[in-house]
Amino acid sequence: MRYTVILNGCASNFISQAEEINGFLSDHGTASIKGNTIIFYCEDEKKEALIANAPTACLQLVKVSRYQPENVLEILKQHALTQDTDLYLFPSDFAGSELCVRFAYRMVGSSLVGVNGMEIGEEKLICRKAVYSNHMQGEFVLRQKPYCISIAKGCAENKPAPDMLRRVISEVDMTQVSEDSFVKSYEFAAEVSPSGLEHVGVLMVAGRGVKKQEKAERLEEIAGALGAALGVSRPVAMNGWVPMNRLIGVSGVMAKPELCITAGVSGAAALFAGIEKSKYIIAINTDERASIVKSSDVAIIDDYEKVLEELLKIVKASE
Amino acid sequence: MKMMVCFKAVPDLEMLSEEDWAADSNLKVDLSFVRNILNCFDESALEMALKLSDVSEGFDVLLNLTAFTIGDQKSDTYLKTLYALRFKKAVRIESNEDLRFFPDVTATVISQYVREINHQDVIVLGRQSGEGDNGKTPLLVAEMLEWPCITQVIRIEPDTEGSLKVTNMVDGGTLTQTITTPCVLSVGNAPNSYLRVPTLKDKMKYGKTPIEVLDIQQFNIQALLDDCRHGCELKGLEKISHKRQGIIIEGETPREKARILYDSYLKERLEKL
Repeated sequence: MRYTVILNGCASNFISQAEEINGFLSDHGTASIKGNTIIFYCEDEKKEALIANAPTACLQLVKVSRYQPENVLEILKQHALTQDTDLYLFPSDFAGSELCVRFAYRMVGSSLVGVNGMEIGEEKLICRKAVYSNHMQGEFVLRQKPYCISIAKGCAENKPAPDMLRRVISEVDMTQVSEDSFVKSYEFAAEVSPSGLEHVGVLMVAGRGVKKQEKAERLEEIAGALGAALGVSRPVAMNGWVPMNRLIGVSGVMAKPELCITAGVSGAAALFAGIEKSKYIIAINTDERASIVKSSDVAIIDDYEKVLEELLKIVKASE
Repeated sequence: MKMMVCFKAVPDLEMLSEEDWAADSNLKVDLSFVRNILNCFDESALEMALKLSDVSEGFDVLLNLTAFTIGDQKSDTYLKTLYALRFKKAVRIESNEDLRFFPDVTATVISQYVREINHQDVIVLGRQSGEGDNGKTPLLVAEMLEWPCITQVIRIEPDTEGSLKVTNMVDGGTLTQTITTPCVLSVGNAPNSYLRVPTLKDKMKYGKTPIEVLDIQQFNIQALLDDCRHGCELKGLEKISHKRQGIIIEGETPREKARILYDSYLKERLEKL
């Protein structure tokens, strides 16, 4: 069995992708298996940092004019035809989940997105992933090589790349590959203020019980005064009251704060996935039967606004 | 421009209690007593298509919208609503097959329908839906048709008869591209995209337009299902427990409860941080 990690070095989140994959590899005992990494990149000045953070000792660098999935897929296919890799590992970001499925189709292999566990078997790969919106854990058997999997966001602790000698076994310039003739023009806007919610110590989450924009704004003030950052559930994000990068859950941020306070959150499993790694969860909800109550460490059954306003007074008085 | 939006009516999984989550020997969960809702990403896809239609005339683009689903008669309610919202065509592929973990089959039916029965310029789909959570169907449709695909789409704007302006989320920011058709658009977390409600007048006038119903067997899916099982197959299904202590703080007033919360559970933790 040989594996290849595919990383997008054009993205600003490269180091976190690499650390996530490295954490996943460590958790799954792949040290004895031969592996290499392919990194797509577009800026020469970042090359050294990309190499230093690669999760394997062997790596291949591919220079592209920009990250464009159609181009990258074409290059990957050309590469794969000359290699003997059984397993392709992709990170959990947008690019990883897309490339995993499309590449597997082109290679007539099998793919699975959002994998949180795997076992390498004789002529098969057993993978686990959350299904039914995080209510159930499914176990899947992949039988058709190459196996292509993208890992689930937050399923492994980010682990810095090991300190080892790295060998760039090939370096190619593919800036001339152009499979994107369907794009007439494009404009990239970098995220102005990344939410950083993945790394906060205290997180407050606003749920469906927050019914107006003003209430979301007030909650943000209270969160700030308590030293917390504000995240939101899908219904709040869908209303456009806060930037979408504050969305918590399967399709948003997977946070792991020391302390999480939920306000008006019912506890939908898709959202809960984004806070289940919290060390301690405090829920405030008017409905005692809401699933968040059983999923919390401690809960208050009451109007979140009244409780939090009182809590704010108490915290301020104690300062 | 012909645009087809694919959607799926899914069980409202949040109606189930912790005890309801059990799989039988066929790895199925009993969801027969649960109401259906529109898959949230598909709902965004439908509304985005309608918004595009609202503004397309100003660009001299005539948008012809088709709504497409695979499922049983329960989906007809949604198709009738979509007629009332001025979709030109509503198509249902009659199926009772268990396609939860076979996105390849779903994608094959969609691509075959577009290739052989009803040609389209653009196909719009939600990025994933909450039973299988496969996250693969839009990508596979694009691959099968050999069309480009834009994922995590959050806005579609008109450009010309043969092109669109599409904004999508990418790692580290957003990308706005003007692209030529044909293409597949996979819709992600799009704000302000709850599906609008039709007027009663439009419901009466258009809601009874006949739905085109085709049988899934005409897509030769049994052979497809066997092929897919060989590639990737579900072998086990277990409940994920989210249970914690769930201590409920008792008190007469919000103030009293906040005080107990702070003194007994919060103060020390906040100090440590």
